[in-house]
This record gives sequence, C-alpha cells and structure tokens, in this order.
Amino acid sequence: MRGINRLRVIALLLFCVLLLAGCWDQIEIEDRLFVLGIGVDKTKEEEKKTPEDRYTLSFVSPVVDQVKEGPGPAFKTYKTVNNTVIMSLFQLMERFSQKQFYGHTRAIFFGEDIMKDEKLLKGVIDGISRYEELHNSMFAYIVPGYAEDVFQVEPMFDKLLIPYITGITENSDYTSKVMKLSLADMLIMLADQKGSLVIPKLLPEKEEVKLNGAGVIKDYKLIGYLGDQEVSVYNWLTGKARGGNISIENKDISVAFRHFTFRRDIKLSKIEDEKIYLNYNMETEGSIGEYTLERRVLDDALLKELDKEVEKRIEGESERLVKKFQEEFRVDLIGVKEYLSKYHPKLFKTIEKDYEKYFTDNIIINVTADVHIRRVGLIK
Amino acid sequence: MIRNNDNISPYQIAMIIIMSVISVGVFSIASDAAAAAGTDGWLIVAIAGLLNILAVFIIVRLNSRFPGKTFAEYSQTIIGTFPGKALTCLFAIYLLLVIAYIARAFTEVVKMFLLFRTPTEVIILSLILVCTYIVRGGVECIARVNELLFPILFIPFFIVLMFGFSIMDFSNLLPTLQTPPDKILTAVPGLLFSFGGIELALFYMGFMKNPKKALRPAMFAVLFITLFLVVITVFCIAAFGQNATTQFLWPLVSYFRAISLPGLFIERLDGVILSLWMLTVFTTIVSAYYIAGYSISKVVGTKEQKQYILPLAILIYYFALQPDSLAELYEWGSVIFPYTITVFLYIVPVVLLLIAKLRKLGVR
Repeated sequence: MRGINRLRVIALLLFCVLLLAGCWDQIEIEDRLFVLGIGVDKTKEEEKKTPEDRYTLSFVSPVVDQVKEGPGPAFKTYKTVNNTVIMSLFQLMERFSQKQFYGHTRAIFFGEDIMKDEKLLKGVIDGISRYEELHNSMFAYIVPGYAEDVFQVEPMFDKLLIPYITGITENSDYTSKVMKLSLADMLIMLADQKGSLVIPKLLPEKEEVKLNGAGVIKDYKLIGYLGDQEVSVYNWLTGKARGGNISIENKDISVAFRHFTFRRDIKLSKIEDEKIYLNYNMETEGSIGEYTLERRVLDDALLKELDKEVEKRIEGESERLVKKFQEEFRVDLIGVKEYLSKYHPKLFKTIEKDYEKYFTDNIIINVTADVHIRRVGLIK
Repeated sequence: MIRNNDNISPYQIAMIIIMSVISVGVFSIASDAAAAAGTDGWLIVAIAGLLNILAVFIIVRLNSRFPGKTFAEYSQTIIGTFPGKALTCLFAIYLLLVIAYIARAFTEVVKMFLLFRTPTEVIILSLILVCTYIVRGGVECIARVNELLFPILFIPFFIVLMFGFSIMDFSNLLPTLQTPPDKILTAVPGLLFSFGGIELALFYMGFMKNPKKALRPAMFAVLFITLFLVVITVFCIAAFGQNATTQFLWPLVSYFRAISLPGLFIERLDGVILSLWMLTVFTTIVSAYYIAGYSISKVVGTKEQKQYILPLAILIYYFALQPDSLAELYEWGSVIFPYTITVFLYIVPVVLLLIAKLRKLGVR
C-alpha cells in the first residue's frame, strides 16, 4: 500500500516538471522595447529595396536609463521599409535584441503622401486597427511632408518627444485651435463618413512641433488643409470646442474674449423648394481677458456691445468655413448629415442618395451666436 | 438544515441560468445587433429577452408537473422510454457541441489578446480539465461555483463598464424606432441564440425540492441577462456609432480598450476584463458539461455520472479542434445553434408540456 502511494507522489512530481518546463508567452520587461510613436510614410523611390516596398515606418522609443538624468538624448528613433505596415513592425525583430511592444504607443503620424493615396491609406488603417497590441486611444496626426521628420525634432522643454506632442493635444481643453483626434475617433469618423475625415496637422520644426491646422480627407484622399483659425471654427461647428480665446477689434482697441465652454445646437428651421434651412446656434460664455488701461470695461452697455461684436465674429467666420466645406471641399464634415440622420431620419432617407450633391446645393446653413461676457477679470 | 448533495436552492437556479447564458456571445452581441437593426439594435436584444421570459415560464410549468425529476427522466414518462432516451441523447450531443464551440471561441479570444504563442491544444485542454474537476463534484458543487462567481464577475464588470462614460455619445442611439417592424421581427430570431443556455434549466430545476419556486428567480435571471446585454449593446453603439460597431469583431473588447484612465495605477483595463470574462466561459462550460454527463448516465441507466465526464473531455477536445479558423467556427455556430436552440428551448418544452397535459401526467 505504501509503495503505491510513494509511486503516485513521484509520478505527480514528475508531471509537475513537465508543466514547469516552459511558458510559451513569458516575456521579461527588460526584453521589451516600448515604442511610443509610429510614423507612416510612402516609401521614397530611392529608399526602395524591392519594387513592392510601399511603406516607410519610423519609430521612437525612450532610452530608459537616459530618461531620468542621463546627459544623452532620452529617446531613439529608427525606421524600416516594407510592403505592409505590419511587416514593417515585425521587421524590427531582425535588427533589435528586444521585442518591440506597442501597447503603450501614444501617437501615430501619417505622412502627406500616404494620405494622398487611397490604396495605401486603407492598407495602413486596416493594419493598425487590426493589430491587437495597438490601442485605439492613441492620437493621430497628419504631417505635411514626411512623418519621419517628426522624429528628428529635439524638443526644447521636454526630454521625450511623444509625451510632449500628446501633451499639446491634451491642451485642446483650453484652446480651441488645437484639435484632438484619437485613432478610435478616426475609425468611427471614417466608418460614418465613408472615408472622409478632418485630422490635426502637425508641423515639425527643429526644436519644437506646431500643432496647427488640419488636413481634410475626402474618400480616403487628402484634398486640402484648414488653417490655424479655421480649426477653431471647425471645432465650433462640430461642437468639439471647449475652452479658447476669440479676439475682436472694438474702437481701435484689441479685446480678448476667453471662453471655457462652448455649445452648439443644430435646428431645422424650414424646408422650402427642396432646400433645407438649418440653423447652427452657438452659445458660449466667458470673461474679458484683455481690454486697455484707463478705460472702464465693467459697464453693462459696453459689455453688451462687446457681446454683439464677438457674436458677429463667430457668425462671420463660421459661415465662411461652412461655405468652404460646401463649395471648395464639397464634403459634409460639419455635422449636417449626422444631425439629419439622427433627428430627421425620414427626411434624411429621401436625400440619402446623392447626398454630396444635395449638401453642396440644397442645404443652407445660418449661424447664430449667443455670447455672454460674464466676468471682466481682476481690474475694472 | 443539512442539505444532501443533490439539492439546489431557487437563488442558485437564478445564478446558474445567468452564468450559463452569459459566455462568449457578450463580446460580439453589439456587433450582431447593430448589423441587424442599426441604432435600434438594443431593441432587438430586449425583444429577444422578453420572448425568453415566456420560454422560462413554459419550462417552469413543465418541471413543476414532475417535481424531483429532470428532463432526462420525465421525457421518458411523457413520450415513452425510447423516444425520451433518444431526445435526451440528442440534447447531450447538442451540449457537447456547445461546449466545444465555447471552448474554441474562448481559445481564439485568449490567443488574440493574452497568450499568443501558447498552443491552442494546451489552452483548450487545460480549460476542459479544470471543468472536468468541478463537474465530478456533482450538482451542488456546480450551483455553488455559480453562486460564488456571480458577484466576483459582475461587480467589477459593471464598475469598469461605467468608466466608459467619457467616450460615449448617447445621441449615437438616434434615430430610435425608425427600423420597419418587419425588419425588426426578422432580426429577432438571429439574436435568440445569445440566450442559449436557458434550456439547461430543464435539468437543473429537477434538482430542486419544489420547482414551482423557481419561477421568480428564473424570470429574474432572464431579465437580468436581457438588461445586461441591452446595456452592453447601448454602450457599444453609444461609444462607436452603429457603423463602427458593425465593423468590430468584438465591440465590447474594443470598448474596454478605448477606455484609458490617466493617473490610475492600471491604465489599460482590457486585461482585467478578459481575465474576469474567463469566469463566465468557465461557468457556462461547467453547467452544460454536467448536464451532458448526467444525460448520458440517464440514457445508459447508471446511477452515477462521474465516470462519463473524463471520456467526454476527449470528445469535446476533438470537436473543438475541428473548425479551421474563427470564420469557420462562427459559420458552423450560425448554422447549427439557431436550430438546436429553437428545438430544445422552445419546441421541445412546449410539445412536452402539451402532451403531459393531454395525457394528464404528473402533478398539476
């Protein structure tokens, strides 16, 4: 009896050894190379190793022992060329002892050429949304020129490049001129708009990057850019704006209006001869940031006057951008389709076919603004 | 009160139903619902759930006529020994297919997100072997596992689900009620499959002292499941809009991946959720597995079911490895299960109840 028991114990122990021998997915943290940012470019002719090469990918990773107090640069950049995005990601395995880990990737940059090529863009977006390691909460940007240039920037105030750039994006809560677009937002927009998109533009310089303007994509092709101020207006029109500043001129005095909230409501005002009249109502409140010395701004009549000035400015700029979308870009990225399909589904069904033409010809948008200057700051 | 090993309480019945129904389907239900009816997807899920309350009602009525007896026993009384045995046997085969399907789907999810290089065989085998261990413990053991895991699973799940409020835009659910009624009605059967698992109550209620008491907990269970699935569908559509939700393979996973909580100790929540979700798969398999073994023991006519469990594991393992890819797995699932579920959840209980009434069998 005791013999059998001993035999059992030994057999069990031997079986345990079998299980201890290996863990297929074990990976030590030292063996991981954290990639914080990825840039995607169309491969330049001279860089092609084989004719099939289509994508140039650039990467940036922090150098762990330099981040805290090292004298050297705190991040490293590198690049690969291949025919698909995922092949490029894995090509790095041939050159690095560590395994690249994309779970903490915070930003993806698209070169301008990629955005001009429908086939390439569809390939990239499919690849990155399919790959399970990449999280779709990362931010997306378009770079005029080449995305790889972003990785040459040595930021003045920050050790690391990507937290610096995403930090600027996070400032969109305070300034409406900065646009924020996560990869998830991008995928949703592409799905809803059937390939049209507004994506923030990132301009790399020697020691800093500038996040101003935005690229307008229609049917997976870049068709133009929005300027610095136009991004602000775009944020107003789509209701994404929160905080920000608006400056106006009033009797030779430059006045700055600061707002912390911004609301946009769309209303269908009437339908006449096949034309749909929409009213965009913008509502904001805030304070006077700057006026001029020796003039009293704490004066109800003056504030009402300034209210009107700001309203006029919001209305004028908004209507100009609406016109630009209707006449120049001929694509509805300002929420008309979204509004009509959500709140007037029956009406939308009648115009769904050939919607683009309907949008440019038969939708008339009127913008009204409602501004309240509530506070004036610390001096009268 | 000392209970013997074959008794389950009304509360445990509710837990068994909830934990059996909720399994691999929760990840993809939002996508199916959105594909079927766009922004009205949640409505289809709700209708499917309410229909299943009716099914539960019939199951309870049927079981109340034969207290202390399970489906395997009273089906023989109602339609005769041989047809009853054949039906039970079919039921067991169906459950084996379900277990194999769930085990394989589970493996595919795990391989996608957690264990990339671990062989499929190892994941499936380790899952089935753990389940085997529990199932050999008997029905009370299963009821307790379900009872125990219910709060462990759902409390954190709901908390994490709530963190997604920042990425949601509830206007994405508009327009509501614009889908034509005939389209909604034709889409409902496709989602009834998400409620597969309720039919296990046909057996488990037989282990109760008084099956009549099962009505309220069972209805509560189906309501809870319906609410849970509706909430998931609503949240996914609110977060992604109907178009993107349709594109995702597992919208719920994408939902958890889109949540990022800056400043929290753990930034990513998908790992937490996936490990919790393993529990739902585990409990579903355990509940179905026990019934499969029990059915076979009743068909063969043995007292115990323990000896059939381990051989069944080999069968499940074999079935689970048959589909070549995830696409093939889903295709097989969509071909087989709508029929089997219609048969075992709706047709069989109704027909048996009618025959039992006509032949005046059992207690009233």
